[in-house]
Amino acid sequence: MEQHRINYISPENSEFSITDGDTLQLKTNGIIYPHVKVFRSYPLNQTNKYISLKNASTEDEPEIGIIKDLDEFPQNTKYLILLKLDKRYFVPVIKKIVFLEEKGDHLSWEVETDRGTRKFIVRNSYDNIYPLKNGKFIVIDTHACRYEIPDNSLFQGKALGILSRHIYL
Amino acid sequence: MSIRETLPKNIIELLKENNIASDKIDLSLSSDIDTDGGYGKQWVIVADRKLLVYSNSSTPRELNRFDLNNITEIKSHNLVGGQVLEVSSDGTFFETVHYTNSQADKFSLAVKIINDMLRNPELKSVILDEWIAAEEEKLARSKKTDISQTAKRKTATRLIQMATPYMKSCIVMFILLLIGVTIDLTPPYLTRTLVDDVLGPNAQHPMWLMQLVIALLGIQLARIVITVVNNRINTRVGNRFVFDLRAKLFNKLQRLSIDFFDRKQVGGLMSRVSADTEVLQSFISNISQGFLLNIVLIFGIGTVLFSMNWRLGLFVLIPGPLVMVATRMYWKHIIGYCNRYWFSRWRINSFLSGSLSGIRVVKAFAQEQREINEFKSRNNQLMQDALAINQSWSTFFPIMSMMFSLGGILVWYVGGHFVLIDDAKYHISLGTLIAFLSYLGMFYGPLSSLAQLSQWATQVLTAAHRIFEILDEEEESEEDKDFIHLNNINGKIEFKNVFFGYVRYLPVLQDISFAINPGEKVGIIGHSGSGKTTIANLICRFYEPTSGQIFIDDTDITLIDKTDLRNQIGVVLQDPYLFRGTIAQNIAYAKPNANMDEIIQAAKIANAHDFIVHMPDGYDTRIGERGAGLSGGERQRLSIARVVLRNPRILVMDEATSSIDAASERLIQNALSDLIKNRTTFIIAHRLSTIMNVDKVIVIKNGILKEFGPPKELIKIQNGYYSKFVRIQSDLFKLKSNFDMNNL
Repeated sequence: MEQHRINYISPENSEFSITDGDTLQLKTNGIIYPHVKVFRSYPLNQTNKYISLKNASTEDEPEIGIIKDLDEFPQNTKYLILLKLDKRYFVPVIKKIVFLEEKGDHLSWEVETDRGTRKFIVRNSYDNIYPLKNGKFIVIDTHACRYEIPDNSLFQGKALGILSRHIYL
Repeated sequence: MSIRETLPKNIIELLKENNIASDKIDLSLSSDIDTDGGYGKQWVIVADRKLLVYSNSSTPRELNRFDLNNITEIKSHNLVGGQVLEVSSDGTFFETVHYTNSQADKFSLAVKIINDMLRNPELKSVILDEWIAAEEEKLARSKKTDISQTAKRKTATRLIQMATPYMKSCIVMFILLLIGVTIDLTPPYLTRTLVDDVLGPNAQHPMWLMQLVIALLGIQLARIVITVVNNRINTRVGNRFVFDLRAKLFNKLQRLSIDFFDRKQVGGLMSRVSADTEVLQSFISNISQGFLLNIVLIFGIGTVLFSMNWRLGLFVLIPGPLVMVATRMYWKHIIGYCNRYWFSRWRINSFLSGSLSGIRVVKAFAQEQREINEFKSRNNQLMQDALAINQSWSTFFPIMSMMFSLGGILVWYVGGHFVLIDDAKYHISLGTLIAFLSYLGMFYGPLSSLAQLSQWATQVLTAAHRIFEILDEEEESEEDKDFIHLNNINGKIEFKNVFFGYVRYLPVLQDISFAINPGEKVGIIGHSGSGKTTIANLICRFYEPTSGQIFIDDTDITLIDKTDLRNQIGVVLQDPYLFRGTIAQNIAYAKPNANMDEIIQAAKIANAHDFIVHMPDGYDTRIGERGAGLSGGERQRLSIARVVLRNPRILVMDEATSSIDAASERLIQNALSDLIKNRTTFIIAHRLSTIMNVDKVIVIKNGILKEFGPPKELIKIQNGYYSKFVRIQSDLFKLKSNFDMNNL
């Protein structure tokens, strides 16, 4: 059952670089993969663990292997991979809720995030704002864009009053 | 949302430096993520057959430059929350700009246009202009229904308008209410006379006792009659109002497109139809019984109190503001809990339905204890929320009562002084004091309910708003269009550059083109999730293509009358939906007037007759929700019978025989072969056996049409998808035969 074995990519058996086309390149077991895509297996709960690497040069994009723990890699390699992960998972972290209003069945937000300020709308708040086990919250807007709320200390004043009606705090 | 955005001056300057005049710009659009990955802009410009990517700083830089003639592929690739524009040029792969999903619409349009420019170097910019304008308009139209915003004030006006048909009854109720209040106000007056003139030490009319008691009794009787009549009218109007509203809502829901049901949760819709309409019932009943009554009572009693003795009246008012303020504060505090309680109840209900419908899985994996624990935690949450509400109510209510009695105590004290005092200016009789106290008892209650008025109004308006939102949704068929009637579809079907995504920016089908002649049998194969069912959905026009066109008998599908279309298309789904009712009713769903022979005939073709007659109740067997009590194969056969009876011109079988064993499938196919003769038939399948004898095969992969043509030609393609499919399936077949042989 060769195909079911997990091929772990470790600092010892791999070499990462960035190509001219701004893609991630991986050299492992003597093979060069010039276009590697990175996926998080547990994007919500384990952001730096079990990173799946896929060969995007082939049509089926088969998996090349899995990085068990990104933190084991040297700083510059980790940086390259994180750069790619941050581009794939565009999930701004909300630093401050500037404005929050209830309008009919949707919530209108204006927030300051680590990637700048943003306005968005959330519908079906019971489905689209959900707490994670680690105390974080994920918010999904009408465009299926995601935002992370690091903890419930952001909920204050009017926002707290409104959100207490929409989620479990 | 435009793909010809106005460029900033410094970018135009930069273009000029690169010898590109602004009149040569075909496309110019901005992203909303900058080069550092934060919110910001980058520019994508197509001009003079070049694709340029610029940063958006005060000194913009050129990030990429491609010659359209060298680009082999350009596409938008989905990421989480956004997309990236990927370009393959001169054998190198480039990830260019990133943008969030909110910009994905215009980028996918741009990609489409650029692809056309790649294929067609002669594309005239005039044609391009027209095309862009048309596509942009289409885009704008599809966006329109994204967010409907109905203002609160408008909601209130509309709510009152909806109540207009019941105005007569409402007026009658109001008059009855006025009479009722007047009657309510009389007994204390009579008791005053009773105390002062009949029973008191200086009584002047001791003989009135009998008459007064009879009068009190009469008043009680009259009050009861009025209350009964008023309540009966009230409940009739309330129920009638809700009945009408519910019917309106359901009619509307039936006419909405499938797209709407994808966007909304069905559970939420159910609560709108049932719960929200009930809140509105309270609107009607509260108008006459609730706050109107309270307002009339407060003014009526206030007037009486002040006319009896204005000095005492002033003391009555002292707790008034306290009552109002306390009630308002209480509601502000409690409303969060109320919503939470509602949410907890919703959570426990959804858990319950999930756990019970999945009871087989729970038992199979021996996870009963886990389910019990999970339920316990949700149950506990519900209890906590309910407790919070009840506890605070238990505290609030006695405090309120105390405030009411505080007014009474004040009046006892001050009024007592007035009774005892000899000064004619202040003196009142004992009877007046007692009457005063009785009025007082009737005064604070309405005051406290009035304080909840704003809360109640918010509730009603929110419910009304949710209902209007559905009523305002655009319906499936636009009435202003002149639809073409096709009473007898031949079955020629053509897809022309069809793009489609359930969510617009996540394309499921990309640039699909094929043409099917009338009466042809077409097999659609591909991995699960590749877009096979989506093609079927588009043929039924459950959805409309994001771009491109579909033609049936050379008529654009969007112009064909929907009823005509669907009456002539039969669909058998992989997971067929059966309605509550008998087997016969389910088969005759699309032809309710079918006779028994027809039903049996259809069931025979679908190879369902034999198992049906084996059932104790035969065709009269009642089946539960979603066909509970039947196996997957039996359900599929019933749904095939349903389509057979409908006798459609175009037949779509979406893995219709996947739950049926090979032998039965052969039987059904043989029977169907008569049915589908001369009818265009689409067969979506995983198994080779299902698509034996088709005229054409469509191979679809990741939403892209890979191969299309007669199977005889496709099999010749070396390493082709179809030939691979046949090979794998034949190997499987061999494997299975070996297995069967070994087990004999």
